[in-house]
Amino acid sequence: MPGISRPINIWQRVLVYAALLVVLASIQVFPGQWTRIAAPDFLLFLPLIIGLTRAGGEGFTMGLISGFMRDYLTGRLYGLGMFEGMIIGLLAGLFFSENKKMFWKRLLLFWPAVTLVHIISMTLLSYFFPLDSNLPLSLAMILRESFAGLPLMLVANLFACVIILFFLWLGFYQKKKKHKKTDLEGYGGYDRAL
Amino acid sequence: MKRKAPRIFIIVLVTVAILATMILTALPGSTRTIITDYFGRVFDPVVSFFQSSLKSVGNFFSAVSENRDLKEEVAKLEKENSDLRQKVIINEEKVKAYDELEDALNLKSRFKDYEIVGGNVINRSIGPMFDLFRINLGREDGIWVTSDRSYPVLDSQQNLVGRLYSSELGSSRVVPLMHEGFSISAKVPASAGNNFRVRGSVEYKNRRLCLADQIPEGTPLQVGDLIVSSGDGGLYPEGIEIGTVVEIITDSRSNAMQALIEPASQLEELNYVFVLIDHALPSAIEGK
Repeated sequence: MPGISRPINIWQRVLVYAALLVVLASIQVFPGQWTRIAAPDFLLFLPLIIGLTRAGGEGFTMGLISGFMRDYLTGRLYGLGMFEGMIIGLLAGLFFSENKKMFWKRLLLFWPAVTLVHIISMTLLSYFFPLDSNLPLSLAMILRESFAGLPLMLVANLFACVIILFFLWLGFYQKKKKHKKTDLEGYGGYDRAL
Repeated sequence: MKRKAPRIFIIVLVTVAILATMILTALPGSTRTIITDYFGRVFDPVVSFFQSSLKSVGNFFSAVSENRDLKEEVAKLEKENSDLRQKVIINEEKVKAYDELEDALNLKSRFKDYEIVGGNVINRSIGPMFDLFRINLGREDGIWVTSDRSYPVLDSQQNLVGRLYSSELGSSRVVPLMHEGFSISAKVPASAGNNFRVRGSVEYKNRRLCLADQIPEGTPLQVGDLIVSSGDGGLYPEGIEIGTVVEIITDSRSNAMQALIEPASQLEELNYVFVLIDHALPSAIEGK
């Protein structure tokens, strides 16, 4: 993604990422009626998109920060979200490509994979670390119920990817510089002048 | 463009640190509250500010659409009449707040032995499982959750919302009624001694229902019955409304009677909640 992947100074990046984190996290956990539908998981996909578009350590760092936010906002303990975010950001960074086509292909591959892995890991955590061990819990049942909502969750997460990409494009937007034609080029360039 | 990926030793170091954090924060009390106390002081006001801005934008747009409707009426009605209507719209929010307050006062008279603290929902849970939601009441408000001490959370209509899971300086996490880790001893108001368990169930969560099980034989349970807390266990006072029976089922394995309960509280529409603090329990100071 040439627009987003271009080199930018660190302060501009920090500013864009901080704004993105606060805005998206606030929207994601905003209480209200809309919680009846599957919500886009911005905090999960932020490190993925940043890793795929910016490479290096940015996806990794973003994964840690957004994971921390997830743990802080709704987690039962600290570290789980950070670990998940770190792995996602790290993997995404490894698959970075400046080629637009390649980026979309990889995003379309990662999007369902990340959603699926997240659901499975949350299911396993709910089963192995229950809030009340006296209450009956069946792994098969949790898995079945989790996967029942998978199609909607996939759609919501695809929406999250598009929104994040749009915000990143907006944050790293650069006006295209108009190439001034020289006198020689005005007449058809150097070759014609010869 | 080539960018440096993080070095292996940094990744290993961070992973070890994360694992240590996980273990430390999994222990009751401990580090989790310390981290949240410091971070919350900075982050919560930012989120609250942003969310209130979102609300104001929403209110603005709804006000614009309401104004459009009013303009049509102004053409039909006399000026005086339209002025009154506008005043009604402006006062709608105040009426809502008054209703909340009135309900809270009713709550106060009902649970005389409890101190009632009201607060806002800060954020909802992210995932359908494992996660919890947060409210803006914490240790500063006299709420000290420990491994053997928790508090019931009600809505303004005196319906059960859930219980507190942990308390930080300015916020607390709530386990909602439909969470797979929630359970409460319940009964039908008229019956004495026939207590049973109402719990969150993964199977029925998507249908927004709870499950009543361990129902003693002969319990007069019917569809449409109101279910309230029995008062057993000491955490929840007797008589808190939990929900209504919507279906009686039979467990396929044990052949025992079970019931599906529709919670009385509209969890998705919650904005304000009330925490009941029982001063008869070991002093809050002990929790400190």
